[in-house]
Amino acid sequence: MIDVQHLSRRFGPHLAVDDISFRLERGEVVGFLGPNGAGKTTTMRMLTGFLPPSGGTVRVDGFDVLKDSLAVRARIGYLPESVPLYRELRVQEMLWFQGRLRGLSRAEARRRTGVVLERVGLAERARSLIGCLSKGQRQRVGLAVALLPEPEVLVLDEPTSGLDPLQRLEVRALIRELSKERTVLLSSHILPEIEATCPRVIILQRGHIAADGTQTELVARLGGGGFVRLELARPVELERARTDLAALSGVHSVEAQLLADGNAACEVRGEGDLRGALGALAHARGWTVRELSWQRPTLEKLFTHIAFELEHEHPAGSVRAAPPSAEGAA
Amino acid sequence: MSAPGRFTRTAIGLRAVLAAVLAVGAAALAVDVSGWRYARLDLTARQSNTLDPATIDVIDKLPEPVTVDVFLRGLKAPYAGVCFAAQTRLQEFLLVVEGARRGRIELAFHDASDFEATQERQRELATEGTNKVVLSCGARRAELELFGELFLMDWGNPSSEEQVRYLAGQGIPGVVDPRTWRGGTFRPAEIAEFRGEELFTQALLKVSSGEAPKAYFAKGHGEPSLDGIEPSDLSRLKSVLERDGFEVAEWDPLRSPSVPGDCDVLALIGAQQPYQESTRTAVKTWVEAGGRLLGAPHLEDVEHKLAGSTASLLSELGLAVRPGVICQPLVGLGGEKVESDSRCTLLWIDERGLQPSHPLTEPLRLRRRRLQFTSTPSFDGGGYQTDSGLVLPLVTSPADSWRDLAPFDFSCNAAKGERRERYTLVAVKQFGSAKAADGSVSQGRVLGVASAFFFDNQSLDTNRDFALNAFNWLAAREYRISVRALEKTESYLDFARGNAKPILTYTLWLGLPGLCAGIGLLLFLRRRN
Amino acid sequence: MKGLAAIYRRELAGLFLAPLAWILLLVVLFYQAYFFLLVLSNPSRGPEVNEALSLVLGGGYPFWLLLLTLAPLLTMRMISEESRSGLLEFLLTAPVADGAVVVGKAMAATTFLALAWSSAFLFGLLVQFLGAPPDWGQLFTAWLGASLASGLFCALGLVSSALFSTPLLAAFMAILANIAMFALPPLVRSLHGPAGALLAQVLERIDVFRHFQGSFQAGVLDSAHVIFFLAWTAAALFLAVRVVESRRWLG
Ligand SMILES: Nc1ncnc2c1ncn2[C@@H]1O[C@H](COP(=O)(O)OP(=O)(O)O)[C@@H](O)[C@H]1O
Ligand SMILES: [Mg+2]
Repeated sequence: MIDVQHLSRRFGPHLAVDDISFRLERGEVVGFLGPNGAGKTTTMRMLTGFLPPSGGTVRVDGFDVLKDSLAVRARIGYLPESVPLYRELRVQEMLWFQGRLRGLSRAEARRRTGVVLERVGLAERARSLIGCLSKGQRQRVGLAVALLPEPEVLVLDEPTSGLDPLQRLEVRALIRELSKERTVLLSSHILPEIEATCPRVIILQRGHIAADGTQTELVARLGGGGFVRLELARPVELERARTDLAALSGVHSVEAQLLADGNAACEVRGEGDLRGALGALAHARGWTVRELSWQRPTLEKLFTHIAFELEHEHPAGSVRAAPPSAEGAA
Repeated sequence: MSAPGRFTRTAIGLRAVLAAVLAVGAAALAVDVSGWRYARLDLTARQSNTLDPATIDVIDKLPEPVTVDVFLRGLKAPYAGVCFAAQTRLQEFLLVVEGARRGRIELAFHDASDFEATQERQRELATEGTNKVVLSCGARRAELELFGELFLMDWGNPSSEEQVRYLAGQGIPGVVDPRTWRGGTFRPAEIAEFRGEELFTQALLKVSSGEAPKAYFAKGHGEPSLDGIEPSDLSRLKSVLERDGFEVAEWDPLRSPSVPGDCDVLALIGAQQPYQESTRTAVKTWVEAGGRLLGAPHLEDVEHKLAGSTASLLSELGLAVRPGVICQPLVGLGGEKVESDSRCTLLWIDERGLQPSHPLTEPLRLRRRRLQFTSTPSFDGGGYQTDSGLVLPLVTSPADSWRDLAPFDFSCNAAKGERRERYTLVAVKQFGSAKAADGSVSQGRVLGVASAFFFDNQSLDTNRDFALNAFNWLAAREYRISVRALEKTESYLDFARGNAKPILTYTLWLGLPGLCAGIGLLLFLRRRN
Repeated sequence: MKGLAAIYRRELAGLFLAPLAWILLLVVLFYQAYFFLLVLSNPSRGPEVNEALSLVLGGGYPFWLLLLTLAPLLTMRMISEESRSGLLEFLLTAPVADGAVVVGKAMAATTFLALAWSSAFLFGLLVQFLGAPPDWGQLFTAWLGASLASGLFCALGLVSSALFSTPLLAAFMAILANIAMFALPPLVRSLHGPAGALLAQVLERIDVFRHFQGSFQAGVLDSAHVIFFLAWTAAALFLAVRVVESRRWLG
């Protein structure tokens, strides 16, 4: 549905997006993840035709963004980061205006207005002035505006920013629901957001694609950092414990340290979940176990890992997980 | 694929600049092209922007574009207002002319603010003075005065000596003469008539036509001077003719007995001594061979029946002049008719006294122009055929006028044989066609004006159009095109009566703004959520 | 153009929903009423209605002064502020051509001004009621000319609004540009020397007042003068579109 090839964009001397390529299949839900200034918004603006790329091509449903700009724009529902809305209009008027812009008939625009307002949970605020709404409500109006034309592709730039936790859950649920019918590309700099909604993640870092794949894939391939946490009650012979643990088969590294209260905490990394082997060892040695737990590998770890790596080692050499995914919807 | 940032920026900038240049160029081109073929639709109630077809025709036939230089300067109070009004009207008119056929007429306004440039242009045009319009086409020029020509003015009555002298000092013809001003209450100046269309058309014809016709004035027999500025002199006639494109020269029959070969119109005006036999013969044969003669005898000459004078020459040519002064009753203060007053010799001829259907008088008649005669003899009634041609009366006195015979008592005295009837004051005779020396066929014309005073400086203000028409007709330059006057629709509120003024003021200051504010407030309240 | 009507309606609504529009309307009404009554109470001329109406519709400098400042005030926010608030991003990612966006805005501002100028019709009705019927044909052409000129100055205002990022700066520059466009040709005409004459001839093509005076003010519809205004309006709009487009490129 969306095919991005070697896309780059400069602002003067500054390279905001540097040669990125990816594909989105119809019905896929993809999260753009990256710290502030990574180039998420810039990329989305290029996808929607607002910014022309400095290099590379973007095709949406086979149409080139530059050459068939109007055809591309007609297929995309876009929620910009700033949630632009006319403050002096009422909610329903804003939606009708969007309907007219998209060439909907009057009746159709009114029908869909009811539907999308219901969906974003603002049905009873249809006649409110947008200027009088709260930030979160405006965010949802913006979402409604993007949804109104029932586009094949939804591009949502930080759709949950400014929402309270409850609303966030609602929006997440909404996006999950939408993902059944449409291709969705959403961006966020908040990890749990992406984790909760997007099976596939593209991590952007300083204009590069740092990682691209499904969450499990990424975690697996990059060793997102799953480990077993073992806490032993005092008295502990720390060095001894460390060598014992390290000697176990399958263990790669052990970090052990004495806690303030005299207990010892160990992080054991190795091949997968080693809780069984560790439990057996503790039993054999007669250690008093305060905690034995499996710390799941997380995107966050991966994310900080990548960010750290790029910051300090080789900015250009991105950690490419997989070729642009072609696995279809998750 | 991505070009260096700096380069793309420059490229984008260049492209925007190029687009700007293209857009401006295209618009300028469109503006130019739109001037080539265009349509004008006059939506005013009285078609006040549509030139008469005759004028359009003249403009269309101009062989080359005509430049119109307009030299304007304001007058001081209390004439500033009327001067400004006249100048504005003229400007509007000229814009209409320019718009009617663009490219044919080029306007150049010179205001007094740029003195040097104005002077330079005036030197180029060999003209001086302000408040005038100069048409030029190649080397040919025609001038139109703002006051007295384009605008017929009623200068009212000034309130002080100073104002009189100021006006007289502006070189405006027809203003109150400082020598005759008698004081009295102030009356503001007014525009009596705007004659822009007509005079402009004539001026166009003149500058676009060929050579200047030559008018010779006989001299050496006590004729009034062509250059003197006394009320009885002819200097104004001369300048009016020159501005109309004539070349004015003098002919002294005593030096060169035969009529000059390049003479288009010969004027014998106001001679007080008889011409020599040879001169009269020369004139007669010249006229019979197709020459054009204007004769206006002096009163003395007629009264004393001088042998060989202008009067007798006219009589020999078929226009017999009768002694006796034509008088007309005065209209007194109460509307009653007064006689036995020397002022009865001042005749005002209105359109009823002008011959219809003659090219010389018809335009004047249509425009209800008046003529002024003082102490004039008369011709034998016209409309008869003489052996050499047809005599036509052109101007006749009013029906209640009579011919007062010497000794003058200025009353209609049946005992002396005085009768009230129309007397012929201007008559014309056309001769049969004759072949001129150069082979061209020409018809002799004699125009007799019963009084030489008709052309003097004092009367010329009133008689200017007739005089010009006469010379032009004699020179066979028939530019006298009747042109519909462009009138602006004027619609005056009557503040004096009723409460029109308060209604207007309150509606404008309170009603409409109130309405606007009300609607705005209503909207504001309705959209407060 | 698709979407043009939608943009036009939205912008018009936006104008009339903002208090600025109503304040400007009120100002126009007072201003026009003042000059209308001033002409009517001119003692040397008498209360002549047509001249007074002509003055409030382009016949005199007060009108142009008003137009030259009003048009930029209306258009100053249309692009610069929307670009800041992101609304331009919304409009330019809708399936509507850039041209339609710019033209719709220009049309809305022009409509507003045309509406403001039609207060002269109310003046005309009023004096007709008071017994001095105006020359309606002349009034109509003057109104049409005033509206066409408004279109031109609104388009110029949009160019400025697209060029400058703050509304006030945009308005200020637009007012300067308008004054230059309006006053330069007559100024240059009074220069002397051959260079001055040449420049005057070139600048003749942007002489707004002369093109207005020669026809619209006098009560004539002249195709060439209509085209004059339309051509320059189109050029300015084209420029505005190009500027908006280059803003995209420059980001
Ligand atoms: N209009 C602009 N002009 C100049 N630089 C810009 C512009 N928009 C974005 N940038 C730069 O591009 C980089 C990427 O920005 P953006 O895409 O907004 O990041 P984010 O991932 O937070 O959305 C940033 O460093 C920002 O400074
Ligand atoms: Mg962003």
